Parts: sequence; C-alpha cells; structure tokens
Amino acid sequence: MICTHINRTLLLTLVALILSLGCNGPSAPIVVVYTSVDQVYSEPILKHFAEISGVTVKPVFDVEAAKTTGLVQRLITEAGRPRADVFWNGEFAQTLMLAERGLLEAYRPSTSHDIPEAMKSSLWTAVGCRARVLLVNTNLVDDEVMPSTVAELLAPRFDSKRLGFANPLFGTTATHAAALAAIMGQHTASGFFQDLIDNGVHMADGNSSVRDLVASGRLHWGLTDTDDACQAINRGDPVRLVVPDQDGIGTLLIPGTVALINGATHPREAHVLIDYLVSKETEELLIASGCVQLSVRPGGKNAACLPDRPISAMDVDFNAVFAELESSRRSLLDIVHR
Amino acid sequence: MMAHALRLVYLVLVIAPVAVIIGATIPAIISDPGILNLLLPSGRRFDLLIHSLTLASLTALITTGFGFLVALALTTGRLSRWPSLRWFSLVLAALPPYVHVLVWTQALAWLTTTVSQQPLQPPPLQGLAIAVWVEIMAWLPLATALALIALVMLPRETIETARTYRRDFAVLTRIVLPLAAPMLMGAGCLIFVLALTNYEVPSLFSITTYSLEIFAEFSTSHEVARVALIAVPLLTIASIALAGMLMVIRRYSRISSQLNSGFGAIEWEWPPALNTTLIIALFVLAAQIFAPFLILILGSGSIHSVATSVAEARPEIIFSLIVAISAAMLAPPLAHAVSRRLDSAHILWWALAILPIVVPAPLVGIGMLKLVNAWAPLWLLDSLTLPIAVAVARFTPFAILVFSAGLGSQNSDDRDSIDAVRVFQPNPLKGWLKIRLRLMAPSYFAAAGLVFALSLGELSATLLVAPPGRSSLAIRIYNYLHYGASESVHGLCLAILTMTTMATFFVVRFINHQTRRATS
Repeated sequence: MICTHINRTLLLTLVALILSLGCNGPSAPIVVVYTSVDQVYSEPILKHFAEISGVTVKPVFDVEAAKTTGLVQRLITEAGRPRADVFWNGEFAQTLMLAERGLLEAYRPSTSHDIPEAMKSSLWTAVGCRARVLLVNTNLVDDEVMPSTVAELLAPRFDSKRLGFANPLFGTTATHAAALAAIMGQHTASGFFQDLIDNGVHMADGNSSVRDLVASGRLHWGLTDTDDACQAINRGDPVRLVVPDQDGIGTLLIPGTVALINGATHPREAHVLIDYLVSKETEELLIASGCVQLSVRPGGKNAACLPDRPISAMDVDFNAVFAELESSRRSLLDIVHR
Repeated sequence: MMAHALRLVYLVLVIAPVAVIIGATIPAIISDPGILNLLLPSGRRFDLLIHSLTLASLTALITTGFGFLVALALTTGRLSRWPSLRWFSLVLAALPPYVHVLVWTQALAWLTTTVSQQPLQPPPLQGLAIAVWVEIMAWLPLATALALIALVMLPRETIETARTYRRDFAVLTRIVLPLAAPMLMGAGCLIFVLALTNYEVPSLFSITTYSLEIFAEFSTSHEVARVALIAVPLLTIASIALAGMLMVIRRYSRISSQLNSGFGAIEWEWPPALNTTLIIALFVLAAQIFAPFLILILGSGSIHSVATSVAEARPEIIFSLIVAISAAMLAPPLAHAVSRRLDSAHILWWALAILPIVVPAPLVGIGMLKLVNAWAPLWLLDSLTLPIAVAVARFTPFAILVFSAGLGSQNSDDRDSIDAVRVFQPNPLKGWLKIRLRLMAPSYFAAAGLVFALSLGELSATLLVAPPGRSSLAIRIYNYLHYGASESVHGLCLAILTMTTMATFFVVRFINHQTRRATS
C-alpha cells in the first residue's frame, strides 16, 4: 500500500516536472537561438545579452560529434514551423546552405556598418573569424625546419606518420577542401588529399583531436583551426601556431555567421540579439574568450596568440566555396572511405 | 485490453517516427528513381560494408569468448561463493562508448611510454587492433551478462550425471558449451549489431565504417531519403542478426524453463591451463571495471573540481535524470506487451520489435520531429516530452530483448498463477498489477535499468528534439570534449559512471530480493 502510494507520488511529481519545464511566464520577451558555437564560448555571451537586454535567451547547442546531423538538420525539419529565431553558426557553409533553401530572412544589423561587404550579405553577417593554421610541437620540430605551408604535409623531410589533419568530410576541413577546389580545381584538391592518405598522414576525427595529438607529442604538427591552436597555447602546451601560405595563396578564413530564421516567432527580440552579436564590443568579448581569433573589421585587434602582423587571407569568395562543397565532399568520399 | 493499449502506444511512440522516415523516402524515390541505386552497395561502398562486417564480426567473436570465460570464472571459481558479486561485472554496461575511448586512449598512452621508458610519445593510436580492444571493453558487460544467464540456467542434474562419467573439462566442452551455445550465439548477434552500427569508436581510431558513410551522406546532401536508402543494407544485415538472436533466446528460454542456480554450487576441477585462462579473463574484467574509475578519478583533478563540474552541469544532470527515469518507467510495460506477441505466428511484430534498434539515431530524432512539429502545442514542445519520447523510441526494443528472455523463463507454476488470477481477478488491471507485474518484476527492473542507463548517454536523437533552453549531460560532455576541458569531462563522466553504478546496484539488489522471495 505504502509502496503504491510512493509510486503514485513519484509518477505525479515526474509528470509535473516534465510539463512544468515547458511553461513560460506570459509576458517575458524571449528569443530562441540555435548555435553551433561551442557552449563554453556561446553560453557566457548569451547570458551577458540576457542580463543587459532583459530578453530571456533559450539556446540550443550543437556538438561536433554529431557530424552536422544536429542543428542544421533540425532547422531543415522544422522549416514549416520554425522554433528558432536566430542561427548563430561557428562557420559559414551551413549558413549559406540554409540561405539557399530559403530558411533565412533578410536582416541587416544596425551594428554591421563597419563590416566589409565580403563578410556579410542581406541574409547573414559575420561574427568574428577563425583561420586555418598549422600547430607545431616545439619540442619535436626545430625552428630551422618549421613548416610554412599546408602543402608541406607532403614534404619528404617530415615523417608523414607524425603529421595530421582532420577528416575532410566534416567541419572546417571539409570547407578547407572545398576552398582549395575553388582555387585549384577539384582534381588538384582531391589529388592533394589522396596523396595525404597514401603517404600515411594521420587523419584525426576532428580538429580538436589534431590539437591534442600535437600537444601531447604524438604528432609533430598538424592542420587545425585557430581556436583549437590558441587553446593549446593558452594552456601552456609546447606548441607554436604557424599561419600558413603567407607568401602564397594565403590562409582560409572561416567567419562565424549569424542569421535571422525565416518565419521567426520573436523577430523583434531576434533583431536585438543579432545586433548584439554583430557589435564590435561582442566581437572583442569573443576574441578575449578564445571563441574567435580574428576581427572581421578593418583594423580590428586580433587575439594575442596570433602573430602580430597582418594575415594574408585566401582570396576566395565564400559563395564559391559553398558551391564546391557538395562535389568536393562526394569526391573525398571516394578517397577517405575506402 | 491493457496489452492492446500498450501495443498501440508502442506503435505511436516507437514505430511512427520510423514510418515517417519511410513516408518521406517514397516521394523522393518517385521523383528520382535513380536514387534506388543507393540500396545496393557497390564498388567502394561494398568494400566498406565488408570492412565494417569484418570489424563487427571480430568484435562480436572475441567479446563473446571473453564474456563466456569471465562468466565461467565468476560461477565456477572462488568468486562463485559470492553470487551477488557476479552481477557487478555489469556496472559499466551503460557507460557510453566515447568514455571508453577516452579512458583507453589515456591508459594505453601511459602504458606505452612507461613500459618502453621512452620520453617521446608514440604515434597516434590507430587501426583495427585498438578499435577492436575498445569495442571489447565497451560491450564486455553485455556479453558477460548473457553468458552468466546461460550458465545459471543450465540443468544441474544433467551436468552432475555427466560428471560421474567424464572429467570436468570434458563435461564443459561436451555438455556445458553446447547447452550454453544458443545464448552465447544470441550475445554474439547483439554485440555484432551494436558494433556494426557504432561509428564513433572506429572513427576515433581512423577506421572508416559503413555507419560513418551514413553520417557523411547527411553532411553532404542533408537529404533524409538518401540517408535512409544508404542505411538499408546495414539495417537489413543487422535485422537478420537480431531476428536470429531473438529466436535463439526465446527457444532457449523455453528449454531452460526452470531457473536453476545450481551451476555455481558444483565443485569444478579445471585443468591448470583453463585455470590460467580464467584468471586472465578476470584480469581483463578487472581492467575493464577499474581502468575507467582510475583514469576518470585521476583526470578529474580534485574533489573540488569534480564538485564544481557537477554543480555547473546541474541543469543538464536534472534534464538527463528526468528523461532517463521517465523512459525507464515507460519502456518496460510497452516492451512487456510487445514481447508477448513475439511468436512465430506474428512475423510483423518481430519486424516491429527489431527495426527500431537498427535505425540510426538521427533518423529517429528527425522522424519524431516531423511527426509532432506541425501540430503540437508549444508548451508540449517546450517540455521534456519529446526527449523522453525519443529515449523510449530508441531503447524500448532493447527492453523487449530483456523480456524475451524473461518471458520464456516463466515456469509452469507462474503460468498456473496467471491462469488462477484470470478466474478470480475483480478486473484485468488489478490482476495485472497484483500477479503478472510481480511475476515479471525482475525483468521489469532489468529492462528499466538498461533503458535508464542507455537514455543517460543518448546524444544524436536528443540533440534534434531538446527544448530550447534545455540541454542534456551528454551534450555538455561532448561540448567540453571538443573544447579540451579535460578536468570537466573526467568529472562529468565520473558522474555518469556513479549514476549507472547506482542503477546497477539497485537493480541487482532488487532482483536478488525477488529471487530470495521466490525461493522461500
């Protein structure tokens, strides 16, 4: 009898908890943001916004391990009745894909006037920027043989089994491969990745794995993103960040992007949040926290972990990179998944 | 009536999301019949499938072998004096595979540098051997559990009679192994399916698999129909293996209808070589249990940092606990109702029980979202209803496997009690609650424990349905993993380990209590 009573109480408590979590105050302004920016970086920024604006922020975070089957697929599935108001993306390719599918609505943030045209469109605006870089273990690679280009992943002077890159089917390495295809042509770009695999260069699961393998000394150096590289530097690992191809094609920049969702249920609050995320002050906060390392504004201050000189960026249009993405991935599937 | 209602709920919660995906695939096929080519893996995809089958077969074979040896060591050696101890070999049963990767990568890195005494780190761990080892560690508790069930259910009289004629080792190879073989084959089939559908572990060791191909297609085209079609070959093979497993378990359970705990009471005398092998198996089990505890405790820094990580993740822990507890309460009745339909006359129910296990998790999430997003009220979408629903959708079929073994093992006394209740019960609900539910209590608790633990680590489907502003513990851990916050990851994994250990403890305690009551 007592047992039944306890069970009933437990059940009722659970049901009440499940449903009460779905109830909101009637008048509180709300904005729903889907973000693929790491929770450790995006959460404090969104909390700060909630404090200064009085708008309750309801975030949904993505994880890298879901291999982009997470939030982007959710946005596509919810298209008929969107739950998200804002999509804050850590890169640009998925944003362009959503734009192509008509899932974004035009909005020019009031704080974007000092951002160059290349870093914004009517549908999205850049929020800070990362770059593709080489992370080198300084205990294992001497200054005289320090690599300076991505192509040196194939240089015979290095032990290829001690070099690494992330799986080019996913994440920013997939974007990098598409950018190379846009510049050099699909055949040449695919050939480069074919050679990397044939030479036994280590293909890690993601950019953070490359970082950890280099930092621990299991790899001598590898290709990764500035956020991963700077984390290793900031935690005191024996590593150096090299911005590659500064005398050649330049390095690929990966701007974060923010966009208004088509049919957003809280458009006014969404505009306020987008204005906040795009602002110069937020960009400075994001750079200070390690979320992004480069300012998208001319003359903007970059992160301290980057070399104190201008960075030569790859001269490639983001739309061209996106246009190459699917064919590049299909081509790489034949190389990587054998 | 009650069972019909529960089966209807099963169809809505578990089958409907899968049906939605199938429904979304048909128009795509009509508009472009060419995509049907994806159904038949050829060229590179065929090679990849063969590669994945090899990896899964190897994992299943070795893990089942180890599981049997561990079970034999726990039931026939000195440890057999403490029967409760054997079930603690299952404490890591629900530890998500990514935690095993984290633990064994660190343990083997430490081992290689310490043993070789080289200051330099070896190259990254990669390849088939390490991937298979980590998969063995991940699925060993499951293999051990099923092998333990197989041994515990063996008829003591048959074995004792055989022992009067032949030595113990001959009895083991000629009587015990053939009798236990069907259940061991069942264990092998289940581990084969789990290994075949897992992409995380092989991918982290640079092994590409067919299941990763499915995710690559997601990233490339974002087309559910293409993904579903590419998944079909994997689903077909996995379904055949699971159907075989279910059939074996049901038939085997009927043969061994008297639960016999006498196997461990026999004083076995093994040859020295087998004794040594059993000791090695116990060492492997000890490593499987203690390495994660040790690595996670050492890696989490101090008690203060664990407490801080747990305190910061309190909302996510509450979210995950509510989802896991609710799923653990909802799934067993549904599984019980469906498992009663699993006989040769109901082939459709077999398919409905098996299919959801092998459908990739993101497709379950997308199916659920498509099912409710258009019409559900906002308060429902903002509650934890959908995360609970996807946990039930994904893990009820696993509970069906537990009930399949449990139902078959109901003895004739149990069936007499049920018949008596049918005559005297004031109403079917009271009869169900007072007798049937109590008879099936061990299966209910075992199924609930399994669903609780699996739900706690669920990631891919939850990501698609989590209400805005809410997040699960697994999502937080993956975010920290990417960030490289080692102490927080270790601390939170330790929290998961503690919760699953406690769940195992309560389930084992309850089953022991029920068994003692039944015996008395």
